[in-house]
Amino acid sequence: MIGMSQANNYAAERMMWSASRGLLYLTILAGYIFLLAPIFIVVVASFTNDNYLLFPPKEFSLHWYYEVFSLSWFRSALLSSLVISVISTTISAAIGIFVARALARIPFRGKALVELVVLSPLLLPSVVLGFALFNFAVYFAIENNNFINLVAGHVLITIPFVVRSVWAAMAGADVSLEEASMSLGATPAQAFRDVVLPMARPGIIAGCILAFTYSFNDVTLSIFLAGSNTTTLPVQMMSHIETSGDPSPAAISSLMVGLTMIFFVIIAKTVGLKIFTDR
Amino acid sequence: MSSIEIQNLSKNYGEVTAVRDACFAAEQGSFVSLLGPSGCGKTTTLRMIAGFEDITSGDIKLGGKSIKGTPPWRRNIGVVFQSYALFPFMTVLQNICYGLKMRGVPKNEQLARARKVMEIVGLHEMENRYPRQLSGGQKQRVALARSIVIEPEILLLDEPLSALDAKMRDEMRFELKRIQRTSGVTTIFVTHDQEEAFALSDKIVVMNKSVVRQVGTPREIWEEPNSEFVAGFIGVENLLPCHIVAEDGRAFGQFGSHRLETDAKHIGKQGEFVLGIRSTDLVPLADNGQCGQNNTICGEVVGEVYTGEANIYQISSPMSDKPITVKTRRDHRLSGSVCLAVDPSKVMVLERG
Amino acid sequence: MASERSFFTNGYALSSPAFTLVGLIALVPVLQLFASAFWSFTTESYTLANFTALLDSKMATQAFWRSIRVSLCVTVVTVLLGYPLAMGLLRAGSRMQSLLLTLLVFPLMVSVVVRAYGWLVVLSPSGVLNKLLLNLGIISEPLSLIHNEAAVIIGESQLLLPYMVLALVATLQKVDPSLEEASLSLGANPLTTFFRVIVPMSIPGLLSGTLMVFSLAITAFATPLLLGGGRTPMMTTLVYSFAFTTFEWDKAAAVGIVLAVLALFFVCVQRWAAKVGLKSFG
Ligand SMILES: Nc1ncnc2c1ncn2[C@@H]1O[C@H](COP(=O)(O)OP(=O)(O)OP(=O)(O)O)[C@@H](O)[C@H]1O
Ligand SMILES: [Mg+2]
Repeated sequence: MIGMSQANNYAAERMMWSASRGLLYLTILAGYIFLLAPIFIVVVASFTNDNYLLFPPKEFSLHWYYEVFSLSWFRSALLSSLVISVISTTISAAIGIFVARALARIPFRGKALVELVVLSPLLLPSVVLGFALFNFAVYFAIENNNFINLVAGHVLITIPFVVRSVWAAMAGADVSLEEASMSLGATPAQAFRDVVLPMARPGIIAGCILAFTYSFNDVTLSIFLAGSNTTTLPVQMMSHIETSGDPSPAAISSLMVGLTMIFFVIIAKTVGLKIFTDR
Repeated sequence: MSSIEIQNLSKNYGEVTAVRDACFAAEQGSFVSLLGPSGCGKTTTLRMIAGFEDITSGDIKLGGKSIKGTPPWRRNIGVVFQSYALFPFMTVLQNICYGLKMRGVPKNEQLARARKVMEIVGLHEMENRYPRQLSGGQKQRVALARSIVIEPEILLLDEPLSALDAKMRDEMRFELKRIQRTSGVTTIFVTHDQEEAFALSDKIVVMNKSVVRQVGTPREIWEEPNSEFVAGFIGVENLLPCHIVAEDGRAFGQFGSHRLETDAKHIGKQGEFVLGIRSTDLVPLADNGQCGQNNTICGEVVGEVYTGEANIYQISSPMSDKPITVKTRRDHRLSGSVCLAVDPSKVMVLERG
Repeated sequence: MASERSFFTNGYALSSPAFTLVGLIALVPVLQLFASAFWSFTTESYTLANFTALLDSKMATQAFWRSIRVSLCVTVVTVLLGYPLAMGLLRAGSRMQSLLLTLLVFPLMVSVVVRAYGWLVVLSPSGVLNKLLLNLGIISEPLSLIHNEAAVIIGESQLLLPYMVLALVATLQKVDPSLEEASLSLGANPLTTFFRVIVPMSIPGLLSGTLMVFSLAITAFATPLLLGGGRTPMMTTLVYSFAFTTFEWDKAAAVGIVLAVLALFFVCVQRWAAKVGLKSFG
């Protein structure tokens, strides 16, 4: 008798715990919906045919995609965004690879200071950096050179991404590879070209993609530096969202999500997702 | 290839002394091992020879010329790393040709020389493989081929066999010796495995705590270790602190009231030493009555281990705080009180420490 | 390395291009901003006038407290949602785990503007949620769900939740799973085990996640601008409106300095905590 009722008790308790486990799973599902739903809804809603957004759309069409590509502000903002991101990522990569090597391999005095300065654009709030750059440009009366100012600003915010990623790749490579190449007669420059760079390649690719993505998506810094001469896509999109209710931002958003997905896959394939988890 | 001379070589890392006043030489074409326990400064010595570390003081002479200020890429020294350090993004052939490319050797000559070396090290039909497609032993051969194809003045190997499993290690040991003989390259080999050092070397340099303790042929090191450390490192089991006294033209180790005779050549030595006796050089006497005579050690059996091949006994004796180890053939068993005789010529006299 | 100095082995030579560039075009402007925050154009001298003007401005003090309040709420929301997500990620099998990780970090790469726009599409009066509720007959008038603090909190929580989860996971994955099993075998039920074993072990991750989320929340810009609208200014949007709407650049500089000091304070605390955390947790 006693054994029976105890067994029943356990069954009740077990049911309670499996119910609470179900609750946990529901919470997790809710968390992921919270994370992804806004992105998913925008992408799906962008295929609407109407002049307003509806989820799910009544019928799917590419209407708003044709529409945005016919908008001259979109085309010019897209072009300048691409050009600015490519140029700033290239400059960041060119100088970031060298400083990453110094940080990863070479002992020298003042290394901590170099690290602090080079990563500082990420430590400072972008709003502050943006306004400081604007203020600085005004001081020299160059605030209307929007293109140059945007490139300069974007170099600053992309350097930390290149440096951190390449640094990790270089620090992870076997030092004796470089020594081996020197023992075989390679000068430091040759060893750098033949061994150090190829070994850091995944880190360089990932760093450049992260830098490009961050630069392409940036709005906080750009809004202070953009102007009538040159502006970027996210800045234009933001002002369009504030002033108009049509679904064109949804189409632009989907295009940006698509580009992000491609980059995300490249990163996952080159260095893996650990670049997001190790910090 | 050349001879190499290491003269009073020292290396400090700030407060830490990694190598102090090391002196040794390797004759042209010879095989020299640096042997010692972990952290004794073997790798540091090798890295200074390769040029990867600056020298704190002393000098290194390659073929009679100092190479102190020469950067690694102008030294023409082959290095085989413990991790092999093969370039993972290059094929076997590209790895082997890399040093020749750096020297501006024409393409077809590069190929010819690479193929010849691959023949010597026994790499067949692997040219286009990548390092990740090779076994440990094959990687080892590629690493060797890559460093000897440049016809280095000298070849440096840092524990090259330690990454291999036991069976592969034995095989590669023979291979290494054969390849070294074939290529005739002067070789310095770092190991903490005394068996490896004895099997391969023309000369062994024993190091401990950043200091070179003894330099000699394997036979010299085996038969006449000069110090307690070297004897212990090569496996002399019984090390008995004592002081040496001379009497009637004979030399004795004095332990309180007991004494053991040693070879008469030690007669000049005075003071505190350590006697070294191999466990196999102690002969149990059938008759315990001879205790105290004929150069004997007496005591009680306190421990016994059967290894299959032999019996190992621990004997407690007034001569030493630690038990004395004796090895007998497996059919020869001991128990209770025993009396062990030793030939004076088998008693080594060693510096302390 | 023996002699013959090369560019590629010289730390100063390798660092100098990046160091000089960032120093010149980031730090010099920030220092100039610092100076201008303490400079008065009227008296042409260094004063605290710009900061006291902020204290006197109702909008500025409200924005300050709103920033703090919103960031605290965002931190709490991310902690509450972060634990279940972190536990789910840790407990999942390896395929499920990589899927969950992918879905967690992918949003990090998506533009902040896109994500804020997504919330507008969901929450605006003509948005998806209101349409749904209207169609279901639950409400008869569209609810006003945007241009308030709650919308900003929702948007920023979605923005920053992955950071919190990653911080918790980083700590929790080092915890020996047998600790949990030991606790269960000693008679603690799963809930007790969670609060008595898992939570205490996650403190370093919780600390670094909290500091990171709070400092990112307080410096967020596009989300409060789009979801908060003009009626809920926060510190970051205030810098922007001082700069481009009212053209009070000295006040913009002063708010910027307050923001920078706050952000750097959190960076320092985070680094310090990471160091101390490393020491005390092996
Ligand atoms: N870069 C360095 N900085 C400070 N100390 C060092 C450095 N490299 C080596 N040492 C120290 O120098 C000593 C000798 O090191 P070394 O690597 O030469 O030993 P080893 O004989 O090769 O040992 P092992 O058999 O473990 O490889 C060690 O005590 C080590 O801690
Ligand atoms: Mg070593």
